[in-house]
Amino acid sequence: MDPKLFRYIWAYTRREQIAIMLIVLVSMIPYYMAFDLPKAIVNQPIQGHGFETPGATLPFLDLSFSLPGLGPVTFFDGFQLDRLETLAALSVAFLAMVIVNGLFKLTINTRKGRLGERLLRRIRYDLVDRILRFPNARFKQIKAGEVSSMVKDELEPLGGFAGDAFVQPALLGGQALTAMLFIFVQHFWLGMMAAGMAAIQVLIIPRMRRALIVLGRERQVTARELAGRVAEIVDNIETVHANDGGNWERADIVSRLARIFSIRYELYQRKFMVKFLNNLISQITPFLFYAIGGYLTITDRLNVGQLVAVINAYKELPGPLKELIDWDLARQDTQMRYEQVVERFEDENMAEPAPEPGEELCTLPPAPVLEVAHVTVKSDMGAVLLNDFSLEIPPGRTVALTGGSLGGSSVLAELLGRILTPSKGRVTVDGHDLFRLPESLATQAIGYVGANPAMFSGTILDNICYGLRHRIPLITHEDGSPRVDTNHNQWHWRETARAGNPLFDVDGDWIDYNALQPVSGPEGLLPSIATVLEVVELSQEVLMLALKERIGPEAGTILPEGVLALRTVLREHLSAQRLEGLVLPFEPDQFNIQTTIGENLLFGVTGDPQNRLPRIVRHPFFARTLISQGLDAELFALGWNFARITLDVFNGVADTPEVLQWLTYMTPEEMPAFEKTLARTTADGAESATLDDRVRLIRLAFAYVEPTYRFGLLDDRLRAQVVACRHKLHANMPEELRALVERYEPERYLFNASLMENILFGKINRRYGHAEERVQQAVLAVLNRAFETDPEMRDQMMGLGLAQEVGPGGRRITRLQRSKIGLARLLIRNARFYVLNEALAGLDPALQQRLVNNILEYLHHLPQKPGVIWALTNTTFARQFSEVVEIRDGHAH
Amino acid sequence: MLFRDEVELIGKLPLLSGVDPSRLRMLCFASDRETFAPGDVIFREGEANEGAYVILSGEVDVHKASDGSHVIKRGSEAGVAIVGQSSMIEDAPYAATVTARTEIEALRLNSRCFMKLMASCPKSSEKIMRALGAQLNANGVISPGAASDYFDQIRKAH
Repeated sequence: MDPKLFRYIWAYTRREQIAIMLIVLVSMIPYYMAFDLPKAIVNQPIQGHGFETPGATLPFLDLSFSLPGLGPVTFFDGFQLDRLETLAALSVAFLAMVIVNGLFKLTINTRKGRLGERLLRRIRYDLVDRILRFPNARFKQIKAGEVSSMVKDELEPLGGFAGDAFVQPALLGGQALTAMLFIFVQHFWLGMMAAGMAAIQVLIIPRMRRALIVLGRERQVTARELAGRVAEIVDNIETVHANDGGNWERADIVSRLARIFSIRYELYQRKFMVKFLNNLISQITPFLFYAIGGYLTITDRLNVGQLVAVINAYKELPGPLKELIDWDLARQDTQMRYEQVVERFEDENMAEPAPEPGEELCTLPPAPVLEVAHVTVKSDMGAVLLNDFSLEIPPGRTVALTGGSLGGSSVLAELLGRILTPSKGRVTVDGHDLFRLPESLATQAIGYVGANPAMFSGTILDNICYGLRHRIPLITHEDGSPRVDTNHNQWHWRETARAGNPLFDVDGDWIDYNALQPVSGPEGLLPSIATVLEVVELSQEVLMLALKERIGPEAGTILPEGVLALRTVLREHLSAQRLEGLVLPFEPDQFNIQTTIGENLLFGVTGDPQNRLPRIVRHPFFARTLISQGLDAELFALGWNFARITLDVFNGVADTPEVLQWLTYMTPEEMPAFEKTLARTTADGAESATLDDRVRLIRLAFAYVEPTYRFGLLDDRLRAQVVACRHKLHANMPEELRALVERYEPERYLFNASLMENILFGKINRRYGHAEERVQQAVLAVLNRAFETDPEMRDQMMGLGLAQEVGPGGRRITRLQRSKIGLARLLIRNARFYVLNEALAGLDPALQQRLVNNILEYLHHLPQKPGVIWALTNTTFARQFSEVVEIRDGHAH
Repeated sequence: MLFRDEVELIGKLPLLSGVDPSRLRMLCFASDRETFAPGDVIFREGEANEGAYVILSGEVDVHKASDGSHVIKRGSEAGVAIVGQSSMIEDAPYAATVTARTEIEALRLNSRCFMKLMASCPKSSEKIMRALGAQLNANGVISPGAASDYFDQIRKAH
């Protein structure tokens, strides 16, 4: 990138700049004409110059010029108009000029804006492209937040400035000169006066503004550092909390904000001072015009029309001048920002630029030899991590690296993963230096995964396929026709090319199906994913994620039908294990004892309980039905006792407010209100209680579940009453409520419930020990059995699970899941050697054992028989490898 | 069995006998009732601790792989038993495998709630410490009698 801002702008926007400049030049003609018109209007029709005799006329649109050497040339004599007609014609001409000037301004501004946006787009892309091409070592000195603030905010003004870089001085200079020239034509000395004041303005103000530039730079650097710190706090938030570092961070932010404040305040003070002086100077000139020009007019050395025209023309002068000065300020500011950013984005060891779309990927020979020859690796502090280390790994060999991370096994793995670079020696694949291979080949040679694989925000599927996204899709079909043939699309790509961005289509199919394994080709994606998920033992977890999902009717019939069939299969499966009571089904004529009273009344799902439940409960129909069934007094009594016991329990431990977390059906804020209600009422006093108290206690009663709370408040008579009321509710429910609740029906799929809830179609009986676990096992068992005969259902279910978002940095999933997804990402991509760097560290040993077995077994059965280099933390697994290399103190033993 | 009966029953456990009833009530409130069929494993040695189980009725087998011991514990209305209490207090994995021998009614104590309640009441925790000390004595780990027996054995061996 050019270190000089103007050269950069000129290089990429030359044509457009020239085009805009031409438009500006043309726009000068109507601009000047608009100046002359007021004078003509005042002098000719209003004051009557040229109309001294009655019936006199003057030519309008008289196009005759006197050309040097040729004498007067007449193109058109003009129309002869009388005084009123001239007034009308000149006024209309004035209006036309105003409109024409406005249209020119519109065109110029739009074009400038577009030019600026293109340039901003180009430079932002260039910067991110550079980040992608930086060598790994560079990132040890970079704070993510600072870099992103440079790309995002700091260059923002560049877009605005680029459009003005050349055009603005031309336009404003032109305007100022035009106005000045006009004044000179009217009166030489008034012109000299205006020129003198303008010179003062142009010379002094920028000088005063220089200090502002320095402050501006400081403002930029401090703001960038603030962004960096904020990003650092967010990234390390767990460590901050673990060390109670919050206040220290607060102190740091406070001091930074103080510094930023003082810089910004200083800036304001100076800025407004300069503004004040600037205004003062430009207001002195009209003072001179009125005083001196007035004097000249009174003494008849200047006519009134001339003076009005001079003052009018002068009105146009300070504007352009001030803007020119502003432009100069913007120039210095942008130049400074640009240089500051660009110098941070230079690096000598940048990787190759991105390839063209559709470019064929090179391939490596099928069975290369990996050779580490006399390699020394040093840490940043100069410590020798790997010392003159040599190792040759023939294709297909499995090598365990042992000796612990401190010995150097992990360093060797990181070296092969190109995270560390050798300070001496070479790593070669098939004789090529690994560090000089283009990235596409280097990753083909070696697939690498570390202990904490990074997750990108997106779905699990995105994260697994991340290693396959190499094939840059064309934006056109093979025959050259656009892939999506719409006007918007063509405009989109034309602009992309104009901004110098590569024609990379994020919506295209990026998956390199040749790199996909174990089943290659476009049809192989799902089966391959299924296989690797099985290898890393993630498929059941993905299924569980899918089961928590809710699907709409638009998702097709395969899942709903498959799930409906499973309801009975699950019951049979449970009863075969003598666990028939583990799930209590929803029976229309039975009270479900594991479910709340409210849910038993409603007997259906709402899909959005937070919003819909209150709407149902508040509906007059609901209250009416409760009362008609005599349930209101019963529920009032239950609610009263429920509240009494609850308050007694929690009042007894008021000294330990932490235990309030186990109170789920009442918020701590509500407790005093309940106390008051209980004091005002008695358990059997529903009749005399206020509406508020009744609503409060009856709503509380809705939350009661006998087996959970065991307060003995619910007897069979009340249960029967609830079921009877349930029938009444459903029989007479008004339409608007019917739309909110989906009734439980054994033969119907519930779209407001998750897949899991649909399979269970009942409540888990928590009275059984380990109930959840057992239910989960049972559901997975019946599902896996169903998949054998219904692969389509499996694919849809897996698809649903894989579509779950992992959250930023994978925070929504567990560390174990992140590790497994990292492994899956590695295993689904074809490579000649697989390097696993302590990839299972910290996992339960039995799981580690299984995963090592699964992965080695899987890789062993791949057709190309890749090599495996695994830095182990647990040496007991080493015997499963064909070779063990123990590294201590950077040497092989 | 209702909530108030549970409170009364767990109060009879040596471990919790010194804890005031309002805290026991809270502990019961936050704890879950669970049942197990004969042969069900309630928890396994080495598994992450999810709270101690108070056996309200039925018989369980407590097995330690380390010394191959089997101990049977029984709970009924007359007196309940507790398994997994030391793991709950230490917040350590379960130290034994407990299997149901009969139908079991149990109350799984909420260990986080237990810790919070004890932390806020020094008097209760002191009583729990005493109860634990007495129990260690009973198990012979630090009992003076056991120690002298041990020395006798060493003397005989020489």
